[in-house]
Amino acid sequence: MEVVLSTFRQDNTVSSFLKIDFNRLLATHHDRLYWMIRKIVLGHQDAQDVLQNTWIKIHMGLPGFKGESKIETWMFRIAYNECMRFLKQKRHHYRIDEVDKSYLETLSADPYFSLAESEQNLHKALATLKEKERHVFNLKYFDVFKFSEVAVMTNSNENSVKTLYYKAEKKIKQQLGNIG
Amino acid sequence: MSHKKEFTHKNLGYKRPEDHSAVSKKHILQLIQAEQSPPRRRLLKSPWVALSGVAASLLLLFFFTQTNAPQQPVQPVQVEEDAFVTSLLMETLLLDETQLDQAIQEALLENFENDLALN
Repeated sequence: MEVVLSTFRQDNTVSSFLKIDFNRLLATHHDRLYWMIRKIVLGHQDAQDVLQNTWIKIHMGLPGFKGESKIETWMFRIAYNECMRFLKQKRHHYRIDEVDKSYLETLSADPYFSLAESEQNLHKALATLKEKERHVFNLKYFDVFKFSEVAVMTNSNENSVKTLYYKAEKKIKQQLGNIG
Repeated sequence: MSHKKEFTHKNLGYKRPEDHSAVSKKHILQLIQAEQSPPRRRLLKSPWVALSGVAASLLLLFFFTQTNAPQQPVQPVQVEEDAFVTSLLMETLLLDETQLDQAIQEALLENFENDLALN
């Protein structure tokens, strides 16, 4: 499956055409997208639903992709937006600036999750973070994105992303210290 | 942070079915292909839907042209006045003043007589 991509100069004139192999894109980024989504929505089945919607949107949006950011960043931004859409639909009072009190319960309820003792402390620490802090922390720390990329994905300012990350890191250190 | 190498998604406790990656990729491709090519039944039905749509729009167009047709200014028909008929009508409507006075006098007299008889 090939999608013709047109890249634009700043004056919007078509400068070149690229052919993107969608199958290759899917093969390369499928798993990484899944794990990124999974850490936000937590449940396997929920992650799978969001992942499908994400890939459909990526396929639909590819012809209009202008190359203003890296294709990976663009794809992960779509995935992040899909996660937010899903969480707002699923939880009526979902607030990104609040702590998810049901974090540990949601994790434990998923059949594809087993909380070993070694991970328990980390999840307890993650549960103390506000939603946005946790997302930023996951994207930077576990998914190893740059601050600039996390900022694009979460539609935030790079400095505020850095602040959120360091706040989250501090909280986790404190929590792990307290537990340890 | 020293935990960076310690924790990855694989040992955060998250699991997934063993063949998830392959099955999911296949399913996603199927979904996208299904979106690109609509089912055949729909294709067969679509000309009828289109025809009925065209018919409905023609009917609507006809209805609107009929109801909203620009109205031609109506010229008022000149009615010629018939002098004879008019005068005849006027005569029947007007009462002769003398006849009216007489009728009133008679009525008053009658009333007076009636009053006398009663008293």
